[in-house]
Order: sequence, then structure tokens, then C-alpha cells
Amino acid sequence: MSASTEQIDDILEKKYDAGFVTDIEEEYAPPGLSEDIVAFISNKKQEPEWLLEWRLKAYRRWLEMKEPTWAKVSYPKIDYQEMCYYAAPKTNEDAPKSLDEVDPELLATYEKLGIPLHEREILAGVAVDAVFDSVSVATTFRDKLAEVGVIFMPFSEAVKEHPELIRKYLGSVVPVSDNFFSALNSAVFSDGSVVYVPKGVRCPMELSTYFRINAANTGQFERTLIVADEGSYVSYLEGCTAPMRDENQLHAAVVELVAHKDAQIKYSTVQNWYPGDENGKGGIFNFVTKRGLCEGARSKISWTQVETGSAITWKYPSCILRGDDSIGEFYSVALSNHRQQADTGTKMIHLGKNTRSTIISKGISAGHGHQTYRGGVKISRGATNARNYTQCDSLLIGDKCAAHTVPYVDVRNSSSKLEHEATTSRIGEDQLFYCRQRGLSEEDAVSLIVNGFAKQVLKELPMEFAVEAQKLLGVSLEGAVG
Amino acid sequence: MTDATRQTLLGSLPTSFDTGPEWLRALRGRAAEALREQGLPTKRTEAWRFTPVRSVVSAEFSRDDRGVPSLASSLPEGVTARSLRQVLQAEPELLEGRLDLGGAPTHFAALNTALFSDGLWIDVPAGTIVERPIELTHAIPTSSDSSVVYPRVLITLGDNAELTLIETYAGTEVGPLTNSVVEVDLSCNARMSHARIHENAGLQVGRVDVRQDTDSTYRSTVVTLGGALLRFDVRCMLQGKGAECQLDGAYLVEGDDHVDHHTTVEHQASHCRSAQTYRGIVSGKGTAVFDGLVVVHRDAQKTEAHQENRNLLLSETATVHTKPHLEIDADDVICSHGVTVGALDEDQLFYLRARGIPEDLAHSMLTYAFLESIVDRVSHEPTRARMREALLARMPHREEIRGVT
Repeated sequence: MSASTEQIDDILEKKYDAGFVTDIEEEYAPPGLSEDIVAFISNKKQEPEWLLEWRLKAYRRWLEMKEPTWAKVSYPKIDYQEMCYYAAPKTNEDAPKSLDEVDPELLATYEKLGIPLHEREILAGVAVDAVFDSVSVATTFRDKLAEVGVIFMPFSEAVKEHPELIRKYLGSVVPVSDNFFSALNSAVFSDGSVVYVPKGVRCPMELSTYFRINAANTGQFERTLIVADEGSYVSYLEGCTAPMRDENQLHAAVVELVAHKDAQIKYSTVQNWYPGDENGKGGIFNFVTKRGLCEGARSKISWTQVETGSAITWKYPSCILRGDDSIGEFYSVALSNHRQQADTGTKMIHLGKNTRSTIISKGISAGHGHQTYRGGVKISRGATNARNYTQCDSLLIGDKCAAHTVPYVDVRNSSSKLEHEATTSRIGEDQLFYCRQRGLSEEDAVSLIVNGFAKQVLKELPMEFAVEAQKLLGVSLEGAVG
Repeated sequence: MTDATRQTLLGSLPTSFDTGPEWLRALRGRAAEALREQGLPTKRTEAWRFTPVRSVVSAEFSRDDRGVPSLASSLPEGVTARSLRQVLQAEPELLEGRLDLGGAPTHFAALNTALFSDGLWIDVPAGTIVERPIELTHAIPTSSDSSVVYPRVLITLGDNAELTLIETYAGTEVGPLTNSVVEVDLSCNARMSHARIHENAGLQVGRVDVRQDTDSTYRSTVVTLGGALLRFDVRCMLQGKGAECQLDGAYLVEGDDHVDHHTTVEHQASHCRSAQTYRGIVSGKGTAVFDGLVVVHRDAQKTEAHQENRNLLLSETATVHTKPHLEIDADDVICSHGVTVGALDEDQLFYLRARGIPEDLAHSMLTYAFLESIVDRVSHEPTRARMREALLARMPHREEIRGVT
């Protein structure tokens, strides 16, 4: 290909734009993990007795579990006793009532990231429940949502205000002992968001949470719970960036979705955490458990993700299609550059009759990046007329990267229909030639082709995210061709 | 010759090997050591997840040394077929480095390596083109006693040599275990077609390892007609530039059958091409497993690799597990894979019914056609006919189907 090596190297070495650190005093729990720490976190958040018990149960289960090794990722051993499991910005002591009361330095952080809250409020009509480290500092639009009965609040508040909701649904989709990281999260989760959409309500706006990991050496353990009652609809956006740090930061979130009869949940993610430098130093370890339960008939859960950040990504947003005629969707673009490793995919478990699922996964691997699509489609005996379509494509850029595809297909019902197809190739020379011939620069041509490659997924994103996602892909890949 | 004492598979491993040449003793020793360390596969072994062999592992077998495959046809000129045991006694140096083509063996292959007592070595010298296929029959002991046989075959082709091999594994009894290993070594520009028919046979674990040099071609067609527990692994190592392999398979799974096919293609050199096409029909309470793997090594640029697995599920109680995976470490490649699982096409059925064909015959015609498309790809006409017959023999309405095809 015609681009010179230096040119490629220049672009591949593009630094992380959002890498900066905001100085805000943190309130730490001492490093290490024990029953005392779990109790400390629970106490700090003034949680009821039952939740503390639940956490302790999870902690004890976690002690018996082993870190999974089946994913195609390698990283230095994590010392779980070296990390802090709780950090809260001090400003939380007198929680702000409105944006004016929010620490200006914090607001400046959002400013730098290009997410001015109030601007968003007005222009985009998005309610933002911003999570700065572990404690939510600003929640907007709550009144408007309350009018229609939608609950959208930080987890710690929901525990106090709607304990019955939390008790009923917490751990109902991702059980405590589901896996090593979900057990860890269950024991020490710091905060997160809770959404409840009542019967027949169409949530009037896109709900959004911006995550940002700030303090060094504190893993962030988010817990998100979204419940859509019968006939309701909600679209939830999650996006994140993190400042540049040298130590590896651990993130083990758990997201649970429950869609009742005729309900729909659309969950979109743009993930751009610090991926580490070009030698693979630093970067976020992202071990996430996301699962949705299509509980009722005709319910629908749709996952869309754009994964461009993190040093290690271990993430499999899944759908359990229990209700008859329920639908599960998974749209994903994952990009790994430099030394990034991503092992991601989905699991579709068909239990109900006439259940349908669609999986579209696009992986882009550049530099020394490693990319694995790992997916599972299971059609159980009773899932009559179930239907699945899977497509997972990989694009390779540079001769040091790698792409793996590992789909598991289990079918136990003869009336179901299942298709899986996958391709792996690099950017075609003829495609590049075609663009170049029409006067596009090599960089623009590659960006165009990559965006075209990912378009099927990007078009699933809500407007607000689609723009950001396209920009992210462009920044990370322009001209990264060899 | 059946050994009267019955032992578990692992229990039958001797503590030391003291016959045969030094290198063979070392090879068997390593295999035995690996087995003692890893044991035989369990449900937790990824490659054996869907094929439970616990009953085989815990069962006691008596060793049967009659597991030597026999030639069903006379040998063409130039080709030699010798007993492994005799060569190992008389000229062991000829076989050095050739009985572990696939690298360090694991599990059942390791068991075979440690315990095989005899076998067959077929050698086609450089430049020899064998036009008539060579046929090998592996008769599985029909004694109701649980016995185990360890067939071992080595096939070597010199530069520019060409061979068609038909292997038949036949037997009807559930009880005896066949644990076979076939190794194929293809030199530059050698071409081999390998047809393998698994007749309904009790317990079968088979493995084929193929090493391919520059510009060599290996075509394998496997027809599996049921099996209480059948596991077949084929692995091609494309080590020379421009080598090509085509792995095809058709499986018919009925009753309580459990049939498991694993294919692996390792692209170790550049400019190689591979294609895998497996099709299966699963009915009754049968279970079919397919696991296909393409590995493209770092320097294997200009690779083209394709993989396809299609399954028809014909009953409410049948199960299919399929896992076609790709591991790609080079960038200038074209790779694809596809899987489908479903029932017979309603439109095709309607087409036949509209032309006055009874429903059950239409079913048979479509299922037969589904598998026949694999057999159709065999270029050697008599072999193709043999395989067609084997398939037809298992089909209802075979006479009518014969009439229309």
C-alpha cells in the first residue's frame, strides 16, 4: 500500500485526547478487600441490613471462585488486595441540588470532554445522571421524568427510596455467583443507576449516564438496573472516557435489564476508556457483565455498543428470550489498536416460542491489537420457530494484529432456523484505489471504508451517540493502513 | 489374540516401554506421560465439551491386537504397503520422525501412540501416479466382549506422487472401541484424495493428521453413517507455500447416535488455500457436533480459508452443537465461515408435492440431495458411486430416489 511507514506510525501513535486528571480530594477506603471493607462501603452508603447481607454473601462466593482464563486476553495478574474499593468526591457531603452547586472543577472536566451538562439539557433533551468516580453528583430532568412516573436515580438513592424495587430485581438477571467479576461487583459495587419505567409509559427522553474513572488505583464497580414494565419503552445511553494513568485500572460493572410484556429496552454504549499507551502500558481493564431478560411476551431488548477504549475488554451483553415472541438484538463495533485486546460478543438464549435474535458484530484490529468475537446462540427444546441471524465481520489493518471468531451454536429445536456468517479480510486494495482515484486522501479513504464497514451498527445508535461514535472511529483509525 | 485381562484405558498404560528403537520408546514414553498428566478428556475439556466420554474412560476393555487394517485391493505397481511392526524391527530408521507428524499427541491419539502394536505404512514414491484407488478396511471386532483396538496407518507420498485412498470403518457392535490414528505426509506437489466411510460403528475415536509441503493438495471426504459414539478429528498443517486442502464431510445421525467431527486447518505458510464443508442430518434423539478451526499464523499472508457447516434438524429431540472458529494472526487474508441450522425448506417440499410426489418421498429426496452435494465433490467416479451407495443404503425410499437421480 502506498502510505509510508512513518506516516502510518504517526497516526497509529496518536495520543489519547481525553487524557487528563482532575484534582479533587477523594475519600478513600483503605486498600484491600475483606468483609470489613464490604461493611465499610455498605455503611458509608447507609444501606439497609439486607443489602449488606447480600453483599457479604456475594463476597463469600467470590472468595471461592477463580478468575476466568478462557478469554483470549492476557494481562498481568490483578492483586485484588492492592486496590481501593471505595472513593467518593468530598463534595458529596453536601450533595448539590442543582448544577450551580456542582464543584466547578468537575464541571470543567465535563467541559473538556465536550459534554457541558446544561447545554445538553437544553439542546439534546437528555437527562444526565453523571457518575464521577463512584458517587453521582448531578441528576437532571428528574422532575420531568417523575411526572410520567419514570424513576431514574443513583443506585444508592433508589435503595433508600424504592427498596422493594431493588429487592425484587437486584441479582435477578445476573445472579451473584454468575461469574468471578459479577460476584466481585455484587460485593463491592459503589453506585450506578436505577431506571424503572411504569406500565404503558414511553420514556419521554433518552436517559444517559456518563461514567468517568478518576482516582488512581480505585476500581469502579458500577451497578445498573433497568426495569421496563408492561408496554413501556426506554432508551438508555452509556458513555465513558477516563484520564491517562499508568496503573491499570479495573472496571467490573454489572448491568441488568428486565423487559416485561410488550416492553422495549434499547441500551447503547460508547466506550472510550484509556486504552494504554502504544506499548500497552496503563489502560483500563474492562470486565463487564451485561445481561437482559425478555421476561414477558413480545418484549424486546436491543444492545448497541461501540467499543474503542480499554486495554482489555471482556464483555458479552446477552439476552435471555423467555417471553414468547420476544426479540433480542446485538449490534457491536469493537476496535483494538496498539496493544489493546478485546474479547467480546454476545449470548442469545432462546427459551420462548417464536423468539428472534439478530447479532451484527464488526471488529476492527490495527497495530498489535487483538480482537475476538465470542458468541453463543442457544435454542432450547421449547423454543419453537425460533430464529437467529448472526453476522460477524473482522477488518484487519497491519500485519501484527489478530482477529479471532469463536461462535458457539447449540440448537435443540427442529422448527427453528439459524444462520451464522463471518468474514475476515483487510481493506481491499481495489476499494482504496477506487477512493484514491476520485481524489480522496489515503486517510479519508480508510476512514470512509471503516465507517462504511461499521455503518450497519452505527445507524442503530441514537443521534447523540452516532456522531460521537463516528468521530471516535475516525480519530482512532485515520490512515492506519499498511 | 484377545488379552483376557480387562483394564481401563489409562490403566493399560505400561510404566515403561522397553521394546522397539530408542526414539519410539521415547515417543511412547512422552505420550504416556502426557496422558498421566492430563488424563483423558472430561466434560470440562473444551474440545470434548459436547461429547461425553466418561463411560468410555471408566469402562474396562480387553486389548485386541487384531486392529491392523487390511488392504481390500491389490497394490498398484511402485506402491509399497508394509507392516509397521516389521519395519520397526528391521529398518526402524525409516520411520524415525514420521510417527509424530501432528506434534505431541494428546488424549486418545496419545493413547494410540503409546499402545499401538502394529499398523500399516503405505508409501508412494516420488513421481508415481496411482490411478486405481487403494482400499483399506478396518474391521471392528464383532465380539460382544468390550475390546479395544488401536489401528495405525502412515501414508507417505513423495514429490509429484498421486494417490486415492478409500478407508472403510465397518462394524455393528456397541462395545468394542476403535481408537485409530492415520498420519499423512505429502511432499512437494503431491496430491492425495482421501475418502473415509464410517459405517455405523459402536465406539469410535479417530484422528487424521496431515502434513503438507509446497504446492501439495489434500482432499478429504468423510461420510459418517451414525455411531453410538463417534469422534473424528482431521487436521491439516499447511507447511509449504501454495499448499491446498479441502475437507468435506457428510453425517447422518439417527436414533441415539452421537457424532462429533472436528476439523483444524493450520495455515503455517503463505499462499495456501483451504476449504471445509460439512453437512449433516440429525434426527431421532441424535446429537451432532461440529467444531471447525482455521488458524492463520503470523507469516501466512495471502491465505484464503473458507469454512461452512450446514445442518438439518429433522426431529424435536435432535440436537446440534456447532462451533466454526477462526484464529487469524496475519492481515492479508480472505477468510469466511458460515453455519446454518434449520428444518427442510418448505418451498422445496411444496415444489415436489405440487408435482405429485408423496410427502415422505419428497422428504427423503431432499435429505438425500442435501448430503449428496458433498459426495458429488469427489472427483474419482467409482469412489463417488461407492459413497452414494453407502448413503442411499441408509435412506428410506432408496429405490425411488435411485430412479430419479
